[in-house]
Amino acid sequence: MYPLRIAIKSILREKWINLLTAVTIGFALLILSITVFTLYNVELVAGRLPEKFTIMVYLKDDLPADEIDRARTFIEREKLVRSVLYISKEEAFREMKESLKGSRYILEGIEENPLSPAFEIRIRKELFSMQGVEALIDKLEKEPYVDEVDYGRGVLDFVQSFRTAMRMVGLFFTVLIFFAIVFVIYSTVKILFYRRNDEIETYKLLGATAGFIRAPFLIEGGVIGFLGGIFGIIESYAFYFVLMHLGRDIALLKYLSFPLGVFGVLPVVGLMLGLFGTIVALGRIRF
Amino acid sequence: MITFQNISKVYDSHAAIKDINIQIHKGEMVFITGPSGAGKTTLLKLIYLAEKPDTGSIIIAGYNTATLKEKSIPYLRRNIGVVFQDFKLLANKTVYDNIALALRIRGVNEAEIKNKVNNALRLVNLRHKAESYPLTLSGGEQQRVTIARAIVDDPTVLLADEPTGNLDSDNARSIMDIFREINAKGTTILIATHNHDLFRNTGLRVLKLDQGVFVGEEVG
Repeated sequence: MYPLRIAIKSILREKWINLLTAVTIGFALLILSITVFTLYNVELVAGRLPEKFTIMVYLKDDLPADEIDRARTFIEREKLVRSVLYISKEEAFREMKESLKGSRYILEGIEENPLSPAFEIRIRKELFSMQGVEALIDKLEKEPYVDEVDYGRGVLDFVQSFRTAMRMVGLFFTVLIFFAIVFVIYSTVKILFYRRNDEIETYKLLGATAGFIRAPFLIEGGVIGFLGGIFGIIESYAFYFVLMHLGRDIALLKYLSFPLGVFGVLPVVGLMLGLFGTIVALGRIRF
Repeated sequence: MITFQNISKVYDSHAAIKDINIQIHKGEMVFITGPSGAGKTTLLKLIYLAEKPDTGSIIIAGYNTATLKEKSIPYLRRNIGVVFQDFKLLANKTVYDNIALALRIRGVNEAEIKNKVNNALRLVNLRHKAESYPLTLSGGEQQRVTIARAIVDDPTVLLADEPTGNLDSDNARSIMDIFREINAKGTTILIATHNHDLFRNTGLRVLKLDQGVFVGEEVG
């Protein structure tokens, strides 16, 4: 219990440096919250992509009905395929006319239907992968009844690259923030240790163990980190509040999600980093 | 109780202690004397390992300093009460808390601490100063607080470095009375001093050092 008393006294005696450290950690954790929030939304958007993703398989003209059925069965047997929708030549032309209703002149002079019948394939979300999709397309392109296969490769590639890049940036920021917090705690504990150096030397001469000397600093470092986490919640919530109220006219915000539960983890993150920073700062106690 | 075997200590190529072999028996009260720079303080520091010997070993209370691991040093120190020349009292703690610190470090419970601290304060005649802060006390009183802290947990060995250095003769006499009382209870005491009046006509062993060398002993 005595180390706890020493720690409480020190926290109160050095309240300003401790408060400043906790607020600084709070700001670092705010940046971490923003990073998590950004990554979460990127993942959310990227995660929705397989649901919307379709592969258009354009068939050769004048295929007999039984061959279309056989082709459909062949495609449906693929594990990756969720559904196959047949769009006939006429249906496709009707849809095109519908979509070009306002610009009918484009279709002027076209008397014969230039479109091909097609299958619209949707992919199982849970099995979605770029490699799987590419393997399926390779397989389909080799089929004799297939004229052309089309899918949003550019968009897909862009989203995948963006997702990977965001993960890397997120990881970089997270590591950077963790280092920054550990460094802030390290510096504060070093200052507190040097301020009490004479006292600690006396403790050693009276028979104090390394554990006895370390314990108050670990409590203090942990408390500062935990408080930093509390400040992190306050600052993150303030950021969320400002974004929601000042930015309510920004359409994009309506599509974003805020994982508010993440805020609850911040004090634990602060506590862990506080303890780690303290251990690094104290190093080996020499007698 | 304390055995010095071929102990030497060198600071920046200057030998502070040179090949000392001494034995101090259990329950003895012994003086170490010599002029300034003779190595008295260094010899005491070597016992509680505030300094480490360059050669040789000291065997004290069952510990051998030559083979002792660093993490065991606190446990060696708990057997030794030290009356420091510069007191080493913590200015931000009361007299009571300064003395209690030695017990809190050992994990003693507060009820026992209260009992032991009060006994120590009674022995040094400072019960009325329990709630005072060290800087409000006279030199003699601070010295007595240091003695109380050193003896509060009944150490097997008590080391005192110039315990009467800055005190008048009355205070010096009262401190020596306290040492005699502690020694009578069986504690081995080693006092480093250059004040010959302290050991004159005591009938106790006086070890003489000069420039780090043990030059002989006499009876005071």
